[in-house]
Amino acid sequence: MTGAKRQMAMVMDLNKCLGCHTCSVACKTQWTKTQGREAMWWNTVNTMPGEGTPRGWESMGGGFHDAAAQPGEMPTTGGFGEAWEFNYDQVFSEGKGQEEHLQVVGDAPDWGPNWDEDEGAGDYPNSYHFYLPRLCNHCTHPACVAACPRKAIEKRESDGIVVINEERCNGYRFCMEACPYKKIYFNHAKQVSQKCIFCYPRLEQGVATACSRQCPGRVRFLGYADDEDGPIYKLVTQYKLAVPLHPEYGTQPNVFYVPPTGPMRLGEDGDVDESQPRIPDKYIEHLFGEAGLQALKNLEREKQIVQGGGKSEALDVLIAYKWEDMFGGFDRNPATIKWV
Amino acid sequence: MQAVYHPDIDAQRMMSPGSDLWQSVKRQILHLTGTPLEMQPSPFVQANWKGKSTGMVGDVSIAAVHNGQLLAFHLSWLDANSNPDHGDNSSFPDAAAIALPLHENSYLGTMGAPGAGINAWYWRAGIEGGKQVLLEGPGSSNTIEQEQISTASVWVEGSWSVVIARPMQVPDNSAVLQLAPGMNTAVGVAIWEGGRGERGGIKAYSKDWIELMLEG
Amino acid sequence: MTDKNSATVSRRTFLLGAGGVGVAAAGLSLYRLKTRQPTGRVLPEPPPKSQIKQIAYGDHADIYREQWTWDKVVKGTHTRANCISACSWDVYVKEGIVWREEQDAVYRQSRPDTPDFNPRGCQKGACYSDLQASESRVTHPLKRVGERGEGKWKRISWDQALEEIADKMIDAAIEQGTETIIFDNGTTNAGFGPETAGEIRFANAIEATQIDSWAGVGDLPMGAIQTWGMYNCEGTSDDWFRSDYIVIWVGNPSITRIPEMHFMHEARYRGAKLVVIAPDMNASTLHADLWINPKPETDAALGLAAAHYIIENNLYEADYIREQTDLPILVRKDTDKFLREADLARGGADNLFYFWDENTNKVAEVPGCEGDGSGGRSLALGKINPALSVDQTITLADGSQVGVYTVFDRLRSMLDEQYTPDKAAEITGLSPKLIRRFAEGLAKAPTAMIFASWGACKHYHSDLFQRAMILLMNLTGNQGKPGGGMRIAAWWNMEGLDNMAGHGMSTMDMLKLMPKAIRGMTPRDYEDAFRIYGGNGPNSPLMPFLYVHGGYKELWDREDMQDDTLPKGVADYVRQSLDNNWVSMHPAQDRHPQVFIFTGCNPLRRWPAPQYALKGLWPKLDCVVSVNFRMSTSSLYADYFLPIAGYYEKHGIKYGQTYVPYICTSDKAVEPLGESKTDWEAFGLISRAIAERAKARGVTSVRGFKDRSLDLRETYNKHTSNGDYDPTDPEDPVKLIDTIFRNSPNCGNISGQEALEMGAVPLTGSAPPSLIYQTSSDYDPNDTHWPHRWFVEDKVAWPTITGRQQFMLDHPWYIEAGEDLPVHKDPPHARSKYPLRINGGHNRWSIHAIWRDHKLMLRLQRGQPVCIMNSADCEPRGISNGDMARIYNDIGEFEVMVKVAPATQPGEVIIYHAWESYQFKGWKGQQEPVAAPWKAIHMAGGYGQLHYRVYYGAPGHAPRGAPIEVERV
Repeated sequence: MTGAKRQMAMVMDLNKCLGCHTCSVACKTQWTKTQGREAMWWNTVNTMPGEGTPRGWESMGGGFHDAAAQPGEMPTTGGFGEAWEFNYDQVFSEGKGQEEHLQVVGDAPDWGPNWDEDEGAGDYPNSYHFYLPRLCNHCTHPACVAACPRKAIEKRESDGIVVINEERCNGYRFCMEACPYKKIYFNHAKQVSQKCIFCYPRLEQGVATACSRQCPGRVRFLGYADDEDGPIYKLVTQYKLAVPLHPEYGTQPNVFYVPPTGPMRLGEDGDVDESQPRIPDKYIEHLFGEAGLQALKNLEREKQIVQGGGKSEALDVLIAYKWEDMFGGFDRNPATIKWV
Repeated sequence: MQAVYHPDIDAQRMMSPGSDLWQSVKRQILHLTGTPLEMQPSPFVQANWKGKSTGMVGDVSIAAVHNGQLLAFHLSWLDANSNPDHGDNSSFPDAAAIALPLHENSYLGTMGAPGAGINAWYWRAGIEGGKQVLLEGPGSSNTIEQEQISTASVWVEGSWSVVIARPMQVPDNSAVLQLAPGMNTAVGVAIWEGGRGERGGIKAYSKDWIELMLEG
Repeated sequence: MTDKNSATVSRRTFLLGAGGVGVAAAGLSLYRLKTRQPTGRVLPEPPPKSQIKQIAYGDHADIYREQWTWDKVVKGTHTRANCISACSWDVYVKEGIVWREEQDAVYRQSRPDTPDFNPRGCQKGACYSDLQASESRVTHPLKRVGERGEGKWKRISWDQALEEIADKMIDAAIEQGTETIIFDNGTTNAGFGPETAGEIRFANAIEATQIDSWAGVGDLPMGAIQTWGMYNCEGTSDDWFRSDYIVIWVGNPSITRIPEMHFMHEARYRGAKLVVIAPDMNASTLHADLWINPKPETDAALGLAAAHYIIENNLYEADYIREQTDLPILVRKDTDKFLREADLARGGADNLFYFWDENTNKVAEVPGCEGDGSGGRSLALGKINPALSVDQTITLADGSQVGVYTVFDRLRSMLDEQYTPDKAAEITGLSPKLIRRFAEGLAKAPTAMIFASWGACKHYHSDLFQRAMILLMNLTGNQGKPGGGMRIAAWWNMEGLDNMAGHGMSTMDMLKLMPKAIRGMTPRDYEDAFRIYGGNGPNSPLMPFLYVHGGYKELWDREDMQDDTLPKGVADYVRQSLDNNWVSMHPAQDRHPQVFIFTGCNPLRRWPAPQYALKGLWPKLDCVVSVNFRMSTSSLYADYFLPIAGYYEKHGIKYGQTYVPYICTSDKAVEPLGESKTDWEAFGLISRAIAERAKARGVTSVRGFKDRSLDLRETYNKHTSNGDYDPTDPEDPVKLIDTIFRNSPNCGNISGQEALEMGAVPLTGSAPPSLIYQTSSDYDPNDTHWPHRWFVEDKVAWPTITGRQQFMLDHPWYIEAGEDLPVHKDPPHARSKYPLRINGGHNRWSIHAIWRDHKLMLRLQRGQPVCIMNSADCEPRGISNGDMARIYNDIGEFEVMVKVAPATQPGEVIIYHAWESYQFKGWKGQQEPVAAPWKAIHMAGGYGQLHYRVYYGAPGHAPRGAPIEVERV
C-alpha cells in the first residue's frame, strides 16, 4: 500500500454516458496534442462488450492477486491504435481526380481506439452494449508504482494522484505491462511512459479535470473520496451505487462506475421479458464483481422510491440539479484564471 | 585487460567501430550472465520474468584504446536482429554499458550501493551520443548532466560493434571516475538485447570486475 | 391578448428581406401577439478577475503545469457548423493561436426543480481549434485549371477571383436574367449575424434565385404542417426533465443532441420512463426502459394501433380533443368531406365548419376556423359542447339530406378496421402485447412527450408518421403541456434580425397589414403575412428545382419511382402545381441555371444520386463558386473557391434553437488564416465587384426577379444599405451585431460588444414569430419552455383551415391518395427487387460533412466510411466484420467497410450521414444509389395550411429506405 493522506476519486454514471468522446477529445486538446503523444488517448471510451483499448486489454494480465504481482503483457502501439495520417493533398490538389480518395497513408488500419464502436454482443433483438469511459484509475495500490524499478512513478501524498516522473523514467515500460487496465502509453519521441495525470494542474487551481468538466452527458463526479458532503462519498460509500472496474485486479481503483442497465429484454412472443435483464448479470459481474450486481439492486431500489412518488437523495446526486455540485468543490471556472 | 596507449591516434579513428585500429588491437572475450531475478527491485519484474531466461547475450568481445585524452571501449557481440528503437512497444533498443567502480568496495553485482557507486557509460541503439550515470544500487541510476560520452555503432550481419568513449579527465564531479594513463582500475560490461525485451535490470552482465590497466 | 401599446408602425418593424432566405433570417417583427414577458435583464454574474500567481513548484511536475497556461480567453462558438445545439465556448489563445476550447458553462437553472444546462458542447466543438488549422482548410482563393473534379487548382488573388466571378454573373444576367444565378446555403448552414447576413444581402441585391432547401434536406415536418399549419414544436431541453413518459421516436438524440440528452437520462432518476422506437438498438436506446423495434417505415401503423387502443379503452382526454382538434367537426357521410357553410347555404364559405353542439342539439359554427367571420382568431368553445360522436341528418342548401358524423367517428371506424394492435402487428412485426403495453404506458403517464426530431422528416411517408404521433399526443392531451407533446425543433427569434438583410417592406404592404396589426396578430395572421411577403423574391424549393433544372426528371419519372397509390405520376403533379402557382419555380422552366454559388453547404454530397446533378445540371453552369473554410466534395467540382475565415477568426451569432434559452455569440479570437476573409467581407466584395464591373461594362439594366428591370450598378449600395455598412472594415461585423442586439428586447437590448463578451446571452422574453422562428409560447425566464401554450392555454386558434389541430385533410390530392386521414402506407420502394434498405441518420462524429474528414475524429472511428449490418445479412453474403462491400442498385453504387453488429435489424444497412464522396473509392459516395423519390402531393396548395411559401410546405428529400443489394468486394 502506497500511502496518500487524501485520495481524489471519480464516479462515472454509465447510465448517462452517450459515448460521445467529448471527454477523450477534451483530454486530447488539453494534454496530448504535442509530439510523441499523437496516438495517446489518456481517456478512452469503448463499447462494451468489446475488445476495447488497447485491444484485448481485459486479458493482458498485470495487477495483483492476493497481493502478489501478476505477470502482464505489453500493450502495443497497434493495440492502442496508431495516429493515422491521411492523403489530403493527394485528393484535394494533386490533379488525380477520382482516382484518389481520402484514406489512411500506409498500411490499411485494422484497429483503433474505438474500432468496435456500437458493436456489442448478443443477438437481435436482445443484443446489448454500452459505453465505458476509462482513464488511469489512480489506484490506491498502483501496480505501475510497484513495477517501476526506478521509482519513477509517485503517488502524491496530498491527493493520491499517480504521476510519472518523466525525469526519472527510463522508458522501460514495466509499468505498462504491470498496469492491469493498460492505461499507460509510451511516448516514442521522448522515450518515456505517459498517462493520465488526473489534471493535477487544474485541480491545484480548484478546477475539475477536463474530462469531467467538459462531459456534456454529465457522467462524471469528482472529489475527495472521504468528503462526506461530496458526491464520491455519497455514491460510493453511503449509497453504494458506484463500484470499481475489475476489482479482482487488486489495485483498488479510485475511479468508480454506476453500472449500466439496458432496456427490458424482448421475449419469444415479442413482448418484454422481465425474467432476466438485457445486460446479463454475468457480464456485470465480470466487469464489476458481485458488488456491481449489488449496486444495480441499490439503484433499482432508489428508482422504485421515486417511481412511487418518494424522494431519493442518491438519485438527486446522480441528477445533479446544479452541475457544479458534481465536482466536490473543484468547481472553479478556468476562464476566470489570469496567469501572471 | 589493458587499454592500449596510442598517442597518435585521433578520436575519429577511435570512434569508428569498423576501423582497422579495432581489428589490430588485442581483444578479450568476456562471458556474460543474466542478472539474477532476485536482484530485481520490482516484484512485478520478478513475476513477469519468472521462468524466463534473461541475459541473452552470452559473450562479448572487448577491447580498449586511449590516446592520453580519450578512452574508448570497443564491444562486439552477436545479435541476430538490430533493434534501434522501441518498435510497437514490444521491443527495446539494444544497449550496452561500461561500468567503472568509484570506490574500492563498489560491488558490480548490485549495481553499486550508496557511498560505493559505479560510474557507467551507456550506449543505446538509435541514439547519437551516450550518457553517463551514477549507480548506487538497483534502479537507482542518476544521469550525470554533462555530455561527455561519445558512442558509435554498427550492426553488420548479425553482429554489433560499438565504441563507447569518454575524455579521461572531465570536470570534477564525485559521480564520475577521473582517468589517467598508467592508472589501474576495473571494468564491467552489460548488454541488453532489446529485441527480447531486455531493459533496465533485465540484461546480460559480466558478473565481476575485470582488471583494467590504462597503458602509460 | 393584444398589447395595444406596441401597435406602433415603424419601417423598422416591417423590415423584410426581399428574398426568402433573407426573410427567414430576418424576424418578421410585426405586432406582438401577447404582452411581452418580463424584460428585466438576467445577466450572469461578471466573472471574478482573479489574479493567480503561478506557484513555482520547481519539480518534474511543472511540465504539465506550464502546459496549462494561456494568454487570453475569448468567447466563441461554431456559428456556421449548422449544429442544432448552440453552445458557448471559452476559446483559449496562446501565443497568437487558438490553443484549445472549453465550454463556457454559465447557464442557469430554469427552475429549482430542473437541472441546469451545463456544460453543453460535444467532442466536435471541443476540437474545432484543431479542425480550423487542419489539412482540409483552404486559405487562398483558388481557380480551377483542370477539369471540374480533377483537383487541379491555381492560387489566384482575391481581385482576380472577384472580377472573374462578377463578370460571369453579369454575363448570366445579360443573357437570361439574374434568376439564373443560383445561390444556395443549404438550409440553416447559417448564423444569426454577419456570417450569413453578407450572402443574404448579396443574393437579395442581385435578385438571384435562392434555393429553399428546408424541405430539400429532408428537414421539413410536413405532417406537422398538415396538422398544425406550422411546424415549430420544441421548447427548452430541460422541459424534457418534466416528462413522465419520454418517447424517442425516429430521432437519436444521444448522438444528435449531445448537449441536451442528459435531461432525458436525468428524468429517469425522477421516475420517468424512457421509451425508444427504432428498428435498431441505437445509441439512444442503450439506457432506455423500453425499446420498441418496428420494421422500418411502419411507424404510422404503430402509432395508429396505439391510438386504437387508447380510444378503445377510453383512455383519451375527451375535453382536450373536443376543444383542440378537428375530431368533433362534422363530416358528410356521402363525400367524407367536411360539412361546410357552402353546403348549407348558397354562396356560403368553404372554410366555415360545424360541430354538433350537445347543449343545443344543433349544428354550431366552429370558432377559430378560417371562415368563422372574425378571422379565425380564437378556438374557445364558449357555450358550445361539441359532440365527439354524431349520427345526424342535415338538410343541404339544395334541399337534399345528408348524413353527418365526425372526424372522430371516421377515424375510429378506420382504426377499428385497419389498425387494431393485431393488425398493426402484421405490418410492424411487433407483438400486439408490446403495442398495447406502449399505448397504455403513454396514456396513463401524467405527461408524455415524443421526441421525433428531424429524422422524422426523412422518410417518404414521414408526414403520416407525424400525423399519427401528433394524434397520440392529442388523444392523451399532451400537446401544449410542460414535458409533453410532439417535439421536433424550434428556434428563438430576435427582432434585431430584421437588420440582417437590410431590405424593408413596402408602404403598401405595411398598410395592408395595419388592420390585423392593430387587433393583434394571431399565428394565422402571421402565416398570411409570411405567405404574401415570402414571395417577394425568387425562391425555389429544392426538389422541384432539381426536377425541372437539375437533371433529375429522367430519374424521378421512372416507373419504379412512382407512388402506385396515387392516380397520377410525379410529372402530372408537378405540372399541375406549377400551373396553379402552388409552388414557385425560378428561373422559369424555359431558362437554365447559369451560375451556381454555394456557401458552406455541399450539394454534391447531399443531393440524392448526385451523379444526376453532375450529368444534368453541372454542364449547364458557366460558373460554379464555392465559398467555404474547408474543401468539400462540391468544392472539388467548383471553378472558384473563395476561402472563408474559421469560426474563431470572425464575429458571429449562432442561430438559436430553443433547447437552451440563450443566444450564443462568437468573438474574434485570432486573425483569419492566410488570405481567408470573413463571409461578411467576402460577399461585400462580390457585390462591390458586380457593381464596379457593371459600371465598367456599361451595363445599365438587366432582367431581375420576374424579369423586372434591375440595375446591377446599384448592387453594392443595396448590399451596404446605401453605405451604412463597409464590409471591408474589420469592425463592420461588430457594427451589425450591435444593431441586431440593440434592437432585440428579448435579449436585453444590449450592445454588440457586450453580447460578444458574454458569449451566452440569456433570453429575457419572447420575440414575435417569423418565417421559421416561433414556439407559440411566451418565454418565461423562471420556467422551462414548451411549445403551443398560446393555443392550449390562451385558446388562440391554430393556423389551420379548421383552426384546430387537424387530422382530416379534405384536399382533393389527399383524398385521392387515401391520406385524408392519417394512415400507414408502404413507400414506393417497398416494391423494389432489391432486398436490403439503407437507413441511417445524423451521426455522432460530424455536423453534416464538417468534421467528417477530420483526422482527429477519424482516428476515433475506422478512418473511413463504414456501414453497419446484422450478421444475418452478412453471413449469406460471405461478409465479415471489416470487409469491404459494394452497395448497389441500378441507379448507383459505392464501396464501404462493413461493421457487423447485432443491434442492427436484419434487412437494414445503416450508413450514417454525410461522409464526403471523396472518402469513397472513385468518389462514389453514399448517396449514389439513393434516388429519394419524393411525395408529389406535397406540392399541393390552395387549401388552408396546405400551401407553399419559403421554408414551408414543399416536398422533401426522403433518402431513407433506399433499396439496395450488398456484395463483398
